[in-house]
Amino acid sequence: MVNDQFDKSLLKAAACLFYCMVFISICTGCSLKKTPYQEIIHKKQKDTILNSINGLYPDRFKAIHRVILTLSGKDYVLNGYLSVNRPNREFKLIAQNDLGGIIFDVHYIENIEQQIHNNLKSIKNEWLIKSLLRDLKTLYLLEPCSSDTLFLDQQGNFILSREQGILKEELIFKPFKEQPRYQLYKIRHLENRKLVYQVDFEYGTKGNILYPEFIFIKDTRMRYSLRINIQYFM
Amino acid sequence: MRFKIIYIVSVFTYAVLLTLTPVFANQDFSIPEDQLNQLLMDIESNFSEIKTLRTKLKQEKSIPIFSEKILSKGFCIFKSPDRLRLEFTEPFKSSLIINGNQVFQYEFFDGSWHKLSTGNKEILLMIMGNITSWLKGRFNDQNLYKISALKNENVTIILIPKADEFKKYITSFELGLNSTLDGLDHIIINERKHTYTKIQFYNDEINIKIPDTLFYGRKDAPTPVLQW
Repeated sequence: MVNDQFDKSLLKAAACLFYCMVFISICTGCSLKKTPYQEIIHKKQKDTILNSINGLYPDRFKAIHRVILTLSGKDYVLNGYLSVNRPNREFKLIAQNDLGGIIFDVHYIENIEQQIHNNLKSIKNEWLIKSLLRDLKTLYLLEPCSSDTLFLDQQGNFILSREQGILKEELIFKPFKEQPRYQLYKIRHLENRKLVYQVDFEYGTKGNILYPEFIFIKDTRMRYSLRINIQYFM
Repeated sequence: MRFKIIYIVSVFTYAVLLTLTPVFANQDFSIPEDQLNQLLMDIESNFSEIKTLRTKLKQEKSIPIFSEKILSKGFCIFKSPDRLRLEFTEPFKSSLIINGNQVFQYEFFDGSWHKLSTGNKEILLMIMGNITSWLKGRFNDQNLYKISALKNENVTIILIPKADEFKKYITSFELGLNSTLDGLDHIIINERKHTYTKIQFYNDEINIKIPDTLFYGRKDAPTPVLQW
């Protein structure tokens, strides 16, 4: 009888301890998931970050993109010959095979022109607009916007956040070698807080100035990824 | 009045000369059809001696949006009948290997080679199949191309694709032969919108021993090639 009561109290204590542990783990998990962003209201700081978007590339430049497109587990290699005019909000791109043969070409001027000539039957123009045009606009026609909210995360990165309906765009900047300059190293698009699109930048030197040399794009909704190696002509 | 007549005659003569020059130029250089077939047979016979070939290449691209020529370097290795390796070394490193009906593709990034899961095998096999045929001196595929030839300093074979689908990519190929008519000096791939790609071959070595391993689709990286 005494033993029975002792067993029951032991079970109760064990159950209590178990619930406590579960509760603590859940709480700990929650606090880890929430990234404590600190909003930066300081205008000078925000202007410096916004200016670093302008300073990412020169106003006008040309580049060759060596691209590996991975789509449905298959890799497609192509060369993109690109010309960008940022003040004019314009770019031209010719995509070719290694040995020649234009796969598609694009001419885009914001609100004025959107021409796509596509020679591949297996790729639809609509897909190119949703993927390629969006990628190029995201990479080369980014614009600073004063209404963006600026945060500082725990790692010391600055996050410029803009929301359009359910879509949230985050531009993440790292401080650049202890100087008052910032380098864009990631772009994230979140839909209902779920990551749907990500761009990662790796920098290389061209004429003593750092430019993105490798760019990785992953679109989880459209199920493609791009690995881009860039050679600039400036 | 006299001056006026001289002026009119001069302008007329100049205009006639301007009109006729390209006609004569073409007539001078183009090889008549009755000689073309014999020439093609001679070339194929000469090229059939090539069992293996390795050659360096310089690629020059002209693209309307670039004022400068875009240059690449690499090499090409061929082993008759159906093995071909095309490798670019500058500015980007890549390797494309055809071994029979197998395609292996590699890209060099992050400091090492990576084997790709090629998505457009059929197109690559078609392109490389064409190059392999040309390296064997077989230009006369009348199903695919309208063929003609020019003789200036050297002979140039001109292939114009017949199929509309093909014409969307390529308007013509110019295959420049060497002076002894037993090898390719260059290939020019002409496209729409004043775009072309010229591949110039140099430092070629014919019928040397080339190991089969160079065409294997190894898991990690293409079999290294000793430079020459």
